[in-house]
Order: sequence, then structure tokens, then C-alpha cells
Amino acid sequence: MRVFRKEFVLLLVLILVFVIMSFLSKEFLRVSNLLEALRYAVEMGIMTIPMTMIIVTGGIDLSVASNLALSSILMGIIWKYVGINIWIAGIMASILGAGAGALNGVLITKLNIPPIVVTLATMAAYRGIATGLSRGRGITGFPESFQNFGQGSLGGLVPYSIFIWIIIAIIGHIILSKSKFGRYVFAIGHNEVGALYSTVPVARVKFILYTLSGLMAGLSGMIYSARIGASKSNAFMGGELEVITAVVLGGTSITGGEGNILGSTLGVLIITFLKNGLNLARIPHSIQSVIVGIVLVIAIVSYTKLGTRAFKEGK
Amino acid sequence: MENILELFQISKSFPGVQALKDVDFFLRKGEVHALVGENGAGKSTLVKIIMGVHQPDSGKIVLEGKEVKIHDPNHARSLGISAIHQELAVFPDLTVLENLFIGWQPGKFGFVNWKRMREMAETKMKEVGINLPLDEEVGNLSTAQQELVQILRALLQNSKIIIMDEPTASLTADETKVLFSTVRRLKNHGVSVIYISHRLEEVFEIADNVTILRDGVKVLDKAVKDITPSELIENMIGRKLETYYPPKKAKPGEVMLEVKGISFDGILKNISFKAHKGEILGISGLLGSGRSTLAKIIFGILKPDDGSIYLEGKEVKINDPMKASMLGIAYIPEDRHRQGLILPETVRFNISLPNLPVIPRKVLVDIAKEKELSQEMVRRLDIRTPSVEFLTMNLSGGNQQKVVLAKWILRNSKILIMDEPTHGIDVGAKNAIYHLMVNLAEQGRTIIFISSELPELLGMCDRILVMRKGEIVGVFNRGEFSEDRILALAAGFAEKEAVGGAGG
Amino acid sequence: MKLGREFTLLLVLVVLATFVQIVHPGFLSFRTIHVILENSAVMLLSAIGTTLVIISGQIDLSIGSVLAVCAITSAQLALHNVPLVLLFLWSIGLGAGLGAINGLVTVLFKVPAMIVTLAAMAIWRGFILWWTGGYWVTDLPDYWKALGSTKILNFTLPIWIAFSIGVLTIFLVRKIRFFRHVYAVGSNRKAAKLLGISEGKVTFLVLTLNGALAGFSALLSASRFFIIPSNIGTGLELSAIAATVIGGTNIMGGKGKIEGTILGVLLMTTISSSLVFLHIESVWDNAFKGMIILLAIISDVLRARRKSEARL
Repeated sequence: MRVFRKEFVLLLVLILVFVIMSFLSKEFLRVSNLLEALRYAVEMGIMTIPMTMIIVTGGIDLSVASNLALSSILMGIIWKYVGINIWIAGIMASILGAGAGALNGVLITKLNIPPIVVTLATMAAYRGIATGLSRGRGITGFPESFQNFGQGSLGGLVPYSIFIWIIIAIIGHIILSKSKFGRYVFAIGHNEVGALYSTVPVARVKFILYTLSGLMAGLSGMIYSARIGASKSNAFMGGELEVITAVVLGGTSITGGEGNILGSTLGVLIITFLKNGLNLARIPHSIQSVIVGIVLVIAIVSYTKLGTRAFKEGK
Repeated sequence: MENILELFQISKSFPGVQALKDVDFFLRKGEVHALVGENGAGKSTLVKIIMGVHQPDSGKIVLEGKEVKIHDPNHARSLGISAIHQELAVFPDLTVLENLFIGWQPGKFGFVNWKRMREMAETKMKEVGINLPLDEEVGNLSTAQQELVQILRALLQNSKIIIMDEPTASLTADETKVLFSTVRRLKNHGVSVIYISHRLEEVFEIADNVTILRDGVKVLDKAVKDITPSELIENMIGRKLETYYPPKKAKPGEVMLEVKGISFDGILKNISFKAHKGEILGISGLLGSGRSTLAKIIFGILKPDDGSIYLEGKEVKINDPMKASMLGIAYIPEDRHRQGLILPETVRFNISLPNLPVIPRKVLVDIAKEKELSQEMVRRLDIRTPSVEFLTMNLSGGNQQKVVLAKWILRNSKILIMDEPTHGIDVGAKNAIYHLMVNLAEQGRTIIFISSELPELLGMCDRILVMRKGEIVGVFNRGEFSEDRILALAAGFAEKEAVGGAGG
Repeated sequence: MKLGREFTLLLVLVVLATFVQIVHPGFLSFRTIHVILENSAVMLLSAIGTTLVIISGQIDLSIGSVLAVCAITSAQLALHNVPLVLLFLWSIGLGAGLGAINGLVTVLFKVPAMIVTLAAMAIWRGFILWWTGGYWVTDLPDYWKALGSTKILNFTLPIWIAFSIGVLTIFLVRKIRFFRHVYAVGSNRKAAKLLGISEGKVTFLVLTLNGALAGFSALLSASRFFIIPSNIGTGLELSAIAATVIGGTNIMGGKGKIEGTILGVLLMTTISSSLVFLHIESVWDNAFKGMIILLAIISDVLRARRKSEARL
């Protein structure tokens, strides 16, 4: 019951965004524009999938954007200075990203350090290492096929990278809402101790989630570099908060136990098209931030109001 | 003796339920008055009205001869009414001294006068004979001490009425003795105590008068010396309780579980015993004797420093609860809400959670099968719930416990360790649990029954192990049961009994 | 055990400083120490505010943006020669106001402060970026820099102000009832409610206070320069949280000492300076900070190991 309500509201908001943006600019409703806007959302979209699950368990991963940047730099270095094929370098970097995520996982599960603290530290550390390794300079000159992947489109219309996002989103949705693993995620989010006593492998689940988050960050780093044609250590600055905003906007509760991939994806879409429309209307980036912030507040407030009402009725 | 508090014709309803109907309640000065009744009888609603948490729909409250309306807990406190809570209302990170005065610290202009606080505390402690380390973080104290902090706080606020709701739930026998002598001292100081407990033996030990509630209505109030235990129970549940402890026909068979030389972190020392198929093995002992720790080790939550575990003769390594459940071991935990269930989820979710690895499925959870199986469990265990989609947090304590049991019965567990399974459950539901236990044992399963309530161990078990400070100090077979000897061993007054009986 | 945390921090500080001094004599010169103290002063008040918010059980992510708004608007007022005293009132008042908005939304709508301040961070940052059009505030009058360059006993004013307030806070936190309520609410929300402490009031006030302290910090930090960059304050909230955590405050609330936070701030600024002296490029700054935070937390956890097992 309560799940149904939130997605409904989100869909309405998305439609509202479309309507308003189309008034602000004739260009907005062009299919080519909409699809191109989605290209820019792919990295964020991919990272929201494991982030949703992590927040459902009551945790958080503040290191995703830094991980993305680090993976992107590592890929660049492996390609440029070690001479490995760019695609393989990308996969290697993604695996290293997974490793970085696994480090988070180990500190959180084996040492029981609160996720916000661990990922706060690794956020600084990974970004710092990326900056140090690259000496603040970017790595460019990637092969055309690679850049084409990030910048080109199928049939000249649908960006290639979107397909990756769609596939990951679908798999993520199935896992979270229909699989045994997903059940474990929700159980942990509601009551970690109770989950343990009901034989849920709590530590293993959490470790997997943070490693996956790192893997997705690494993958996103690869896509990011393909898209802009460079590896930069300041890639996606502040990106972790954007991802979290999308997830929270999408209805996932920051305290855990509630959330779904569809909602998070709608959250990503809302933010993306909002920004795209405002861009077309020549509204400066600064104001865009303000508007996204206000949308977040309104969404959260309405969820809480809906939530309390549903709770009262349920009792 | 005059009445300090009188409640006349109090009624209170909530959406969908009439919690109290025309209830009268009279509390005399300096008396200990027990309030008993099954879960849902209205005890906590009545007490919340006295504490100002709820307002009655009708009826009047008279305090020391004057009619009053109690607006909120602060107001109640200023009127001299305090409560000690089950979910301890203390601040674990703050010191004892600070805990005593939180919310009403002496001092002017928003400043806190620590010196005055310390003086007041020390004076009161001497006066009442309670001794607490003022500068220790309350989180480091035992549960019993934390309750004493709350009592001391109430006394410092010059409370004339103290409400105690299940105060001995987490106390050892020694600590309970201290609590009771404190309560008696309170009586001598003219303080009245409203005492709520499911442990009826306590009612007979400490209370002067008892009021029985049933289904929101007052059934009886009498002096404790004028009532018998069976009369008390019958009035609580409204019918005669024939077989309180169901008889068990089957005799224990071969050895199912053997524990050898288990030691853990100073809490357990060289524990060895055997448990048989079809046996209900009781483990008696006071809090701190290590019983729950032992259970957690067998269930894989903790890893022992030393020792081994054998199932049907073969040694096993139990790394985590998942492995334990694969081996057929189940644990029904002490803390139903925190350890036993995922409260914000449905009955179906909870019952299936530990069974997910074995409910036949392709890759994803087979919801239809899940529903079918959980509905079957609801039927078999007679769980009172509108449907399996009902949230477990809305069930009564007894039904919640049945859901916990259902998880493991569905799992077909061969060994069920039950840790205080009837804790905080009303008499009727207790009986249902006892029947279930006998049922399971007769099917050949092994039940390890951990309990602080000696009567139920004596009534239900084939054998009883007595633990004290991490060791097994005695074993009793059914014919040899003796309350006094078991208690004496548990408390350490007698020498260790021959432990040869541990093998059965 | 009681001295534990602060002593360890002091020890690490001393060892670090000694190590760098040995490798690079001249580190412990007055000039370096002054730089460290100045950088600390700038962060100190915000860190203290953050500590109080965390002790109350919440997290405030918006102080960097709040600081930016306060600093830039104050600087713009200074361009019109508004007197210093009024600038202080403005900055602190504005900060308090923005903090109060956070507080209101958090309390009235029962939303975790982390989310509210996440939104606020974006909103105020975006606003001030739009307001300045990305331009930096320049050509500030002399009296503006006076605050940052006036020296008493060779130490600049901001250092005196920040550290005095810091030390004062250590005592106030013990003696003022409100602060005791902050600890209570963070330690056990339910109990606080049962005992009549209004969690809403405490949360609202502590967020407002945090805003006011950010406003205060804004002037202390901005007054050191002739120009104010439009992205001032970025990353402040995370540095403040880092200093708080290093200082021994429990991220879950209920426990924490101002002394620890002050030492945490000093440690972080000392590390930054050390890196410069050791000729480690500033690009590695964040990496080191991150690792220090990790080390601090890991040592905390290893000490509290057994307690957590018992809670299962």
C-alpha cells in the first residue's frame, strides 16, 4: 500500500517537470534532447542502484564519487603508462573500484565502524589519491572506439551507455524486490540483530553491497571518461550527494528498511530532466542547485506526511 | 490507612478497542499494590493514565483527597507520581549523578548546580540505604543498578507513588532480593508502590493488595493474604486451568547433542553435557550464569575459545546461525522484539526469513509457496492474526512468540533452544507454548529449555541442569527434583552435586 | 581510561610535530605555529557547532554553504562601509536564521536533519553562486582586514577570539542546562521524552546555534583576506565532522567532548602544514586526512571491541 503511493507521487512530479520544462523551452520535448539528457544521467543512475540497497540496510556510501574519479584515473594510467588496451584497462579499473568498495566493506563489517564514518574517510582518501596520482592533470587522448562508446548513439539517437544503465537497473530491481538477497537487505535495514538471529548472513550481505557499490563506481568512471574523453581527478565532485539525493527523493528511507530501485530511478530522472530543462531555459547552474534542493525538501516532507497517515491508519 | 490515590469509573477507548471500562482503583498510603492481568487486560493503559500519558474518556482521579486532572508526565511528576520503566529510562552515556537530575537540575538562570546535586544525592542515598557510584557512566552499570537509579531519582523528586512495571524482568535472584528490600524501605517512608508483574510468586511475596484486570474491566481486588494462587490465576484468565503443565508421555531416546569442554571469555568454563531426542532439558540458573551465552555458542552467534560440539555423534563446527540452522539447530531468543522478530514486517516475512534457503524456488522467492507455508503455520500454532500480511509489531506478545516458534517448526529443526520462552506472556498464551513444547518433544525433537521460573522447569522438564557462574553445578533427573536444592545450588549455597548425571 | 582520548591526540600531535621538526628544522618556528593556529581558529567554531549537533544525534551538512552566504553578504555590506560590529550581528544573525530554518523543517516535518541540511546545502550554495554571479568580492575596505591582522601579543585577533570561545564552551557545556539536555537527547531519545525534555526544542536550538557559529566563523575566516572567493566554505562540513570524530565524539550521539574537537582541529591543521614542510604535494592532502580519520576510528573501535559483542 505505502509503496504504491510514493511511486505514484514521483511519477506525477516527473510529469509535472516535463510539463513545466516544455513551457520553458521548445527544445525540451525533442526526443533527441531527452535522450541526450539521459546520457549525462547514466553514471549517476548506475551508482544509485547499489546505493539504494545500501541505504535500505541503514548504511551509506559517501565514497562513490571519489571512487569513480580514482577508477577513472587508474584506468587512464594503466592505459597510458602501462600500455594496456583501453577496454581491458577499464575493466581492470572497475575491479580496482570494487576493491576500494571492498575495503569499505571490510572496515564496516569486520571492525564495526559506522558506514558514514568509514566512507567519509575513504571519500577523502580516494579523491586524494586520485589527485595525487594524476598530479592534478587529466589524462586524455583515448582511442576513438572508446570515446564513441561514451559519446555515440545507436541509430544516431539512443546513447549506447543508456543500455548499460537499463540492464543494471533491471537486474538491481529484481534482486532487491524479488530475491532472497533482497529480503536479507530489508531485514537488515529493519533490525540487524533480529536478522542475524534469523540466520541472515549480515556481514556477508553488507560486504557484498559495498563491494558492488565500488564496482559500479568503477564502471561509471569508465563510462564517464568515455563520455568526456578524459580522466580527471575532480570528476563528479559532490556527486555522492547527488546520488544520495536521487535515492532519497525516490522514496528510500535514510533510516533503512524501505526503498526500491524504481523510485530511485525516478528520482534520477526527475533531477536529470529538471536540470536539462533549466539548462535549455538558460537558467544558471546555481539556481538549478537551489531548485533541486527545494524539490528534495518538498518530496521528503510529503513522504513523511504520507507516511504518518499510512502509519496511523495501519494501527 | 487512608487512600492516597483513588480512580473512580475510569474508561478509555482507542480506535477499535475499549481499553478500560468503568475501572475503580484504590491505592493506600505506604502499601505495595499489585496490578495483574493478561496482556491486553488494560494494566498499562491504567498506569499510563495515572502517569498523565493518556487522558481518561470518563471517570475521575482523586489524589490525596483532591480531584485532579493529570495533564502530562511532567505534571504527574510534580504531583509526586513517578514510574520505573521496562525500557529503562536512563541515559547510558551520562553519569549516575546526572541521570538522577536530568530534566529537573537544581540551579538558577539555566545553570546547573553540580555541587547541590551531589549533596542531595549523597544525602538521599544514605537515608534510603541505596548505594550507587555517582560518577560512573550508567551504561556501565548492571540492569539492577540502572533500576535503582530510577528509583533513587523518583525518591529525590519526593515521589509518593512509584509505579514499577515488570521491574524484575532482567534481575538476578540476588538483585531481586535487594529490590524487594528497597521496596519495603520505601513503604516505611510512606511511599506507595504500584507493582505490575507477570511473576505471580512475586505478587505473593511483596504485595499487600492486588487488583485483577481482565478485558479492560476490574474483576477483583483483595488483600494478598486473603487470596490463593489458583484463585488469582482463574480470575485473571476467567476459567479453570486444568492441566497447567501438559503431561509428556514419550521418554527421551538417544543422544542428539553433545557439548564438551566449552569455554568462553571467562563467562563459560568447561561446559559439558548431553541432550537426547525427545527430551525437554531444562537449564536453570540466575542471570549471569552464562545460559544465554551457551545458547548463542550452540547457535553460532558466538565462537567458543575452547571445546567441541557433536551432533548425533559427529563433530560439527558452527560458524554462524545459517550453519546452525542447516544442522537443525534453532534458537528462540530471550529478547523477542530485538532478537526474535523483524517487527515492522509481516508474519509471512518473518516466518519465511530463516527458511528462505529451503523454500523451493527457482532463483527468486516463491511468494505463493511462502504464503501457503506461513498460513499453515498460523493454523497449526493457532496464531491469532487477521492474515499473514499483518505486521508482527501489531500482534500480542503471546502471538509474537508463536511466530518466532513457527519459523523453526517450519524449518523442521531437530534441536530447539528456548530462552525464557514464556517471558512477559500472559497465562493463557503460556499454556499454549507449553503444549507446543510437549508436542515437539513427542515428535522426537530435542528441547533445551532455559528459564528463570523454577515452577515451569519443574513442571515441564525431564532433566534440569543447574548453572552458576559459567559452570554446571548440578543435574537433576525428574524423580529427584527439589526446588530448594536447585535454588541453593544456583545461588551457591550448596556444594556441587555429582556431575555424573550430566550425561543422563 | 578517562584521560584516554585527549591524551592520545595530544601525544600524536607532539610526536608528529617533533618528527617534522627533526626532518625539517624550522617547522616549529613561530611563523608555522601561527599559521596552524590561524587555520585552526577559522575552523574551530564550526567544528564545535558540528560536535554539538552530532552529540544531539543529528548531522548538519549545510554549514559550508551557510558560511558562504554569511561571509559574502557581510563582505558586500563592508563594501558599503557598514561598521564591524553590525557586520558581526548580521553574520551571526543570518547564520542563526538559516540554522533555524533547518531546525524548523527537521522538527515540524520529522525529517532527519541529514536530509534537510543536504537540501539546504544545495539551496544556499546555489543561491550564493547566483547572487555573486560567480564573481569574487574584491576591493574590501581596510577595516575589514583589520580584524584579521590586528595582533595581541603577536597572535592575530581571530586566534584569540576563536580559542577563547572554544575554552569557554568547554565550561559552558558542563554548566548550562540546555547543553546537558543535548547530551541526554543524543544518549536516549525515548528516555528524554519520558522525562519531559523536548527533543524538538533541543534539535531546533542546536541547529540554530550551529548556524550562528557558522556565521561567526564566516567573519573570522573571511576577514583574513582582501578578496572573498565565491566558493568559500566548500567542504567545511566534512572537515568539521572529521575533526569531531577524530576528537572522540561518538557519531551516534550522546557522547563527546569539546576538548577533543579542539585537539582534532589542531591535529588536522598540523597535518596539512606538515605535508607542506615534508614537501609532499598538496594534492595528497585529502588522502592523508582520510587515512588519519580512518586510523583514529580504527583505534577507537579496537578499544571498544568486547562491548559490542555483548550487545548481540
